Amino acid sequence: MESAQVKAAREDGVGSAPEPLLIARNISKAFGHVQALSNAYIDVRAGEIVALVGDNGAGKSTLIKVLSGAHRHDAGEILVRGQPAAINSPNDSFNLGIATVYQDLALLPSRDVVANLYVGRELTNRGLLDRRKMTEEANRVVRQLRTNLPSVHTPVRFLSGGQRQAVAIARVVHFGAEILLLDEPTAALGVKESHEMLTLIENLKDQNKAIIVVSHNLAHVFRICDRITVLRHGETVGTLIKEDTDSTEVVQMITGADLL
Amino acid sequence: MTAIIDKVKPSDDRPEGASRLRRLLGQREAQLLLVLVVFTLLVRAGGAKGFLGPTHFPIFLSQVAPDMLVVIPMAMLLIGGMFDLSVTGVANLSVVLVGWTFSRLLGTMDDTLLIILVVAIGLTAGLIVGAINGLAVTRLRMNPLMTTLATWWMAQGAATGVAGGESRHNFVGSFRDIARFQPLRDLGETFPFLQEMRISTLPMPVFYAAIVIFLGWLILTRTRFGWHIFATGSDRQGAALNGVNVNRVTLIGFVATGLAAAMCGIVWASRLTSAPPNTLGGLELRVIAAAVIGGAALTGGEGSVLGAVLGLFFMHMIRSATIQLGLPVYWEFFVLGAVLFTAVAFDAWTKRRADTQ
Repeated sequence: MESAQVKAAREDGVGSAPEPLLIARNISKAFGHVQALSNAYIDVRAGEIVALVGDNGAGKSTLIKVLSGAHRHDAGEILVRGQPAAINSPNDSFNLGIATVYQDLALLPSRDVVANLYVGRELTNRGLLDRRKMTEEANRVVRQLRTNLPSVHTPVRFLSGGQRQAVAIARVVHFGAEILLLDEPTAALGVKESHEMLTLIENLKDQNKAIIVVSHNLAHVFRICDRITVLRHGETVGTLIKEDTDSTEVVQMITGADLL
Repeated sequence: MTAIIDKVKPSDDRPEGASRLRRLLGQREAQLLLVLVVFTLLVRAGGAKGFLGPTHFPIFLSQVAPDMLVVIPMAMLLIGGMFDLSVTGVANLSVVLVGWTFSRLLGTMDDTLLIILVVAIGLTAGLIVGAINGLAVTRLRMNPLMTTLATWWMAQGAATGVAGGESRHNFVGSFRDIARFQPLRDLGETFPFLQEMRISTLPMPVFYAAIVIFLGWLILTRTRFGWHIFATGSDRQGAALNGVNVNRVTLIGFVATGLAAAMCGIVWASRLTSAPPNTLGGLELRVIAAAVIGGAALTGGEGSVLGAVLGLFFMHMIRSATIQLGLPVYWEFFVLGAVLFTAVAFDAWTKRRADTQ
């Protein structure tokens, strides 16, 4: 079922780069009668950005949610650092060093930056919350990222789209995730904020993170990614290396025009 | 990276002077406290000189205490994005079960054992209704408004059904101690100032309320579970994606509220040594309104224990003031409604203002 492009890309990759940190293959997932994923494939190495593209309903978000543990896949195999991984919950995924920044960010609007950074993984000291330490750490993390937050005690609903995005990514980076799944990181942002976000993602690549980015925006995809994996009707139709392709070919693969 | 660091404004963790005061006054709790103080001064100036004075205050506290047991878990439920209308039915069911058990088992066992059994039965009723509410909302995904309206009616119906139109009076004398025992009475003889300030006359429910307030505050602001309550109410899906067990938060919230309502009923039964099935009326809206006046958002994610305490104080102060000023008591609900309206309008106004900034 694998197309020529997939093989070509993989063979090309194996020779020059280390083993992928994450491999997901033959992933399928159905919701009732709707087959959201069938035979999806993606892999990503450390220090690499792979774009996951496809039309609406192609299964991009479903695949991300399978990797992040929000959905359980019906069939297929996930390898993390070469080992088969059982991902049945967000915690499983987190424990494997996989972190997800969702399209809707999954932030808590009424809570401050500190609470958002630590939600679900709060620091405690003798059973009680260590609020001082969380505040200190939050300030440190915010300083590390190129972001302009008024205070870590600001409720997130008062932040701009870019600031919220930065909080969501700060949360992920802070917990030492090695594999980052970014779902439409620039979809809700203006031009300037998109630019800052792309720079932030490139910074993360320099920090040797393995990054999968879901995006509709091919200009953004071509600016930051190393490889492009195309999903259509829940299936991986191919993975292209950026230097070997252009947006026309990617669009053809997304729409299926090249196979007609 | 240094250029990046320079861009970051220092975060104002410890604002000095004026900005600190402004931030304090921006807090709902501070605003409400100010309103309560002004209200008290106005009522006193209006003729009720003893309003919340040394004689009135302890009595006032013991009047507020049973509601206080319920308003704290209700506020936590609201912060977690849920609410529970069934508390009145649960409290009345608990009252009736207490009376019924006494009338059936009096004399068949040791009095202390009987009291323990009675309390256990009352609390079990609260536990069961709370668990039904919680499971219906989480497992069956039933709407909380309709679910708790239904369980309210079922609990209330069970209360009147069990009572069968009678009010039980066969209480063990020492059962009164649950509501009337004054734990500091002896201490008042040693320390006269406790007696002068009437602190030694405070009855048990005030202490139950104090414990519930402290536990509520501790859980909400100092434990992971408390932050999970906020997270669940702030964005249920977002919290779940981050590993918060939102169904557990909701279930525990409903069970705690049910238990508190049952405890409220037990206190009332002990206070009245009588068990009519309509002992409590309007408890549900009173505590929900109090929590909302105190800053809890019906949409979840916002609110505080202190706010709920002050909100409930305010509601009871209005009732007390109406009586002490000799105003027609029939207008009490008009005033309560007006206060609630103002609080909600104020909330909407601050939100609108914040959104346009």
